[in-house]
Amino acid sequence: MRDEIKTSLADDRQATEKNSSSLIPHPSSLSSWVLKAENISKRYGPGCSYCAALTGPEHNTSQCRICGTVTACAALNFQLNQGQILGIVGESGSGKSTLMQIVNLSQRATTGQLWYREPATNGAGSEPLDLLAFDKFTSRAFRNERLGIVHQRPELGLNMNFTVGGNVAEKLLLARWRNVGRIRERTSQLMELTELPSQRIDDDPYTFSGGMLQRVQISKALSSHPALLLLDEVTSGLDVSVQARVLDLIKRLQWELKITMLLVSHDLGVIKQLASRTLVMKNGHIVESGLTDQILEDPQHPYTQLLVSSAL
Amino acid sequence: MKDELPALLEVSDLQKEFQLHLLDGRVIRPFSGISFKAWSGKLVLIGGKSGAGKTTILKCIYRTYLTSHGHIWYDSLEFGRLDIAAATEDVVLELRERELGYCSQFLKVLPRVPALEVAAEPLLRQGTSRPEALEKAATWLARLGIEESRWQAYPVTFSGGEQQRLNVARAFIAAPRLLLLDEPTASLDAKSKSIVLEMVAEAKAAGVGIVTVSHDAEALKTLADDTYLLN
Repeated sequence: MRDEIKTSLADDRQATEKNSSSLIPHPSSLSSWVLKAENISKRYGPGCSYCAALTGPEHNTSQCRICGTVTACAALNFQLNQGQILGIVGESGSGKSTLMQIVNLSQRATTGQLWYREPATNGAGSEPLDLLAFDKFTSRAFRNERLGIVHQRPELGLNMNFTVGGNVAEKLLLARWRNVGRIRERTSQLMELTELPSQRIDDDPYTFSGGMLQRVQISKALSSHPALLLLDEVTSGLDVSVQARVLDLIKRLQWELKITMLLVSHDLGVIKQLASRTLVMKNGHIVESGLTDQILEDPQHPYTQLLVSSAL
Repeated sequence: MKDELPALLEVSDLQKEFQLHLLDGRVIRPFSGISFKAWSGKLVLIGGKSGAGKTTILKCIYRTYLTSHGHIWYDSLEFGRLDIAAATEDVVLELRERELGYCSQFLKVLPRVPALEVAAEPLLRQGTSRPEALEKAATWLARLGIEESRWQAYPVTFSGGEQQRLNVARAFIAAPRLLLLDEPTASLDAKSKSIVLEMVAEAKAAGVGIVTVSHDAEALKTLADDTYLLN
């Protein structure tokens, strides 16, 4: 199984490197899913038989009062289709970032399955892979080659001691690119795509503004042609004018490159403009899911109604 | 004659309830048991005063609102006859992209995106190439009387009437099969209004089914094939 994945990833890398002059990875087919979560749970702590009964939105806590275990994600089910953006909203501590880290394979889920299917190239979808069954090495290879993540704070996603070009090259090297000329070419292409001045490729990150660093992170995330882009609060901390440009960029990436994205945000305005479907989380549970405009204009769950009516 | 053709849209016994959990679970029913049909190339006009639930009907058809009771049968090109009220989210998204056009009362778009791109958005979403989409958007904006000097401006800086026209352009540009128009002529001057009416007439002649709600029934009366009044 592991070897199979390795060869498929290696083939893909060759294809990627060959096509690196065009930024368009795959043609889209809307109906097929890329990521499917089944009963994903994450517990911080030993857990006891009362946890399930004592936590959740109806108790307004995710911590069990018997054993103190925090259930950050409780039996989550969702599906992410190719080319779509799935929004996740919820208050602090509702399990959004834990979910993001589970998908990024940097946290292990306690139970559940996370299925991934390589986006279809010509209508025929490939075999689904269970990401949580991967060992450490396969997980790392998968993360480097098929996933891209943009963290809330640029310092988390970038090495501030490397140049901007070096940061993007780091991910490409991990994705087993070896040709320096190609790596630089790809990096400057991405900088142009994200509207960064490509002559600044050898500058240090601290000479860039926060919004520019966010775009460097996006460049880095996109560098190895990820099938799935994870965006964690991409616009929080940015001033509104830069925020508008980052949002515009994300929207264009979706239209022009048909990249599938998972978008975590506090900001309902961001979700509204970008996500086609939205999950609302509270205390580790998905309390409501649906089309984004339906969630925002016709919320069904009391918590969603509270959330929507509290937005500016 | 028209009764022999299958209806493009058949709303039967539509009911919508809003449960306000923040107000002790109070339930609001704007209307009960709405039924009507719409055909390709025909215009259905729904009139009524503010708060009667006109927009609610359109939003139920567009699935922005979940239907509480009843069916919304739509004869889709891609999926065949289906009930929008019960369709899966993926089907609804696909329908919105390819077959349904919705002109809302208010324009809400990403800030700092030029008007021309805002108008081209539905085409870009469908996968039309950028130059082609922008060119088409330009013809629509020119037709709706938005000056060329303003195409690169951001829609926030537009007047109410200009925003409304941009909204209309967005609904028409992707050549939908079913157009849902929410007050298309509100806040427009006489000249723009006549242009919009001309566009509606053209779409009708091209075989688009149209459902429009308006309290300005006079303007659309001549185009309407069926008129309903919501009480």
